[in-house]
Order: sequence, then C-alpha cells, then structure tokens
Amino acid sequence: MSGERRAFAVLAWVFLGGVILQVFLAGLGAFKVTDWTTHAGFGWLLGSVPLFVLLPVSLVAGLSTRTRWLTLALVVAAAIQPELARARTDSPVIAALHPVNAMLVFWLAWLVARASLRDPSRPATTAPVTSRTQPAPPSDSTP
Amino acid sequence: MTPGRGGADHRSVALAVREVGLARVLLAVGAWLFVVCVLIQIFLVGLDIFAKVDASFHRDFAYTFGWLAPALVLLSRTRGVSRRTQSLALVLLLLFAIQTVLPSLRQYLPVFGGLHTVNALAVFGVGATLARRATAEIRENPAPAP
Repeated sequence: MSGERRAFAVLAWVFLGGVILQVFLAGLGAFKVTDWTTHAGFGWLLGSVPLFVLLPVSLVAGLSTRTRWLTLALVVAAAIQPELARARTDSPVIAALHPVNAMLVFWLAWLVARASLRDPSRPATTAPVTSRTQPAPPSDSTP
Repeated sequence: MTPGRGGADHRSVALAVREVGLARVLLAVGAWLFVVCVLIQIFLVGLDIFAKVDASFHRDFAYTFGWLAPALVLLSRTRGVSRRTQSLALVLLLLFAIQTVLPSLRQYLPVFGGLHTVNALAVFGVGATLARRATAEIRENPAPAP
C-alpha cells in the first residue's frame, strides 16, 4: 500500500470515528446533558474534512473509480448537513432531515473507510500494454 | 397491461417465491422495511428537535415497527440463509432491545442519552447490512439445497 493510500485509509477511518463522536454529541444535546454548541462547533470542523482532506487525497491515492465516486458523494452529503440544520427557522420539516442525512453521511463514511482497505491496487497504465506488445524475455537471457 | 399478462406475472411471481422460499423473501423484504422504518424514526426525532412535534410519535413508532426485529430472527432460521445472516438478525434484535432501554438508563448515567443516538447508527448499519445480504443471497442462490 502506497503512502497516499495509507494516508487515505487513516483519514477515512478517523472521519468515521468523528461522525460517531458527532452523533454522540447530538445525543447529549437532545437529552439536554450538554447544550448544542459542542455538536455545532465540532460539526463545522468535521464537515470540512471530506471536501478539503478526503477528496484531494482520494485523487492522488490511486483509488478505484467507485471509491472516488463514494468520496464525492460523501463530500456532497457532508456539505448539505449544516445547511439542513440552518433551515430550522424557515422550514423545520426540511431541517428534520438533518438526522436522516447524518445516517447517509455515516453510511457513506463506512463504505469509503471499508473501500480504503479493500480497494485493489490500480495497475500502472503502461504495464499491460508493455506486456502485450513486448513479451517478457526468456528466463535464460536475464542476468 | 392486459388482464392475461397480469395473470402471467402473478403466476411467475408466485413461482419465483416458491422456488426461493417464502421465508427468505419475507426476510429480505422485512429487513428493507425495517431500514425504512428506522429512517422514518430518525426523521421523527428531527421533527421533535426542529419542528417541536410531540416526542411521543418517535417513542410510539418504535413500538409499532419493533416487532420486525424478532420476526427477522425467526425468518432467518430457514434453509438457505447463511450463518452470518442469521447472526446479523440476532445482533439486530439485541441492538434494538438495547436501544429501547438506553433512554430510561440516562437517569442513572446521563451519558446513556448520547449512546442512544450512537446505537441508532449501529441499528441502521446492521439493518442495512442484513437487508443487503438477504437480498444478495437470494440473487446468488435462488434455490437452496434441500
């Protein structure tokens, strides 16, 4: 596994852990154990991770197309999340989708984290062409 | 659709269900229904928080669809269902049981309130995995060995 791939895997799993922590903070807010400021503050930090960290790393880590699309979907779902909460004054019913979208963020984060470990290594683009056009030299010719 | 064509469709569906086994079809359908109910349940929490809708809707709805969890365990104990899928159904029942108890436990330790939402993630994740696996097993192995 290359350094970029390893970095992506670590970041993806850390982000998933962050989502679980964020949901825990929401539970503390909902049951009035703490106020909502911790959840809101951590949400702004966490929400920027897919766009500014995961997506750029996914582009250089040599991941499969499926994993890169999943990461992009995660970016979109995470970007929508604070906007849904912000809609609470104008349209509370739309804002009620905030926890539903949290499930989507969790599910996508889980799929991305799992794919970061399972993704097959992308073959070098020149290797198959070379092997097809130029057969490997016989073993006795190698030093 | 003509009546004759519709009749043929019904026969083909009935034949497919007989081949796959009614219990396995009900397991997959029930698991997906459970996932949808979990999402509705979470939407009801959102309505409680953001639209000040009575929290009793959220509480009562849990008892409305909660019977699905033990039903899925029973349905998973049929021929053609893998051991792993059976375990998932059992884990789902366990998580759901914990979920119903966690809110009342917060009077002893407030942190249990936070765990109620985290456990909801687990209920959703295990439910969705069970639904996907049950569906995939029907696709991969439509007629289980006798």
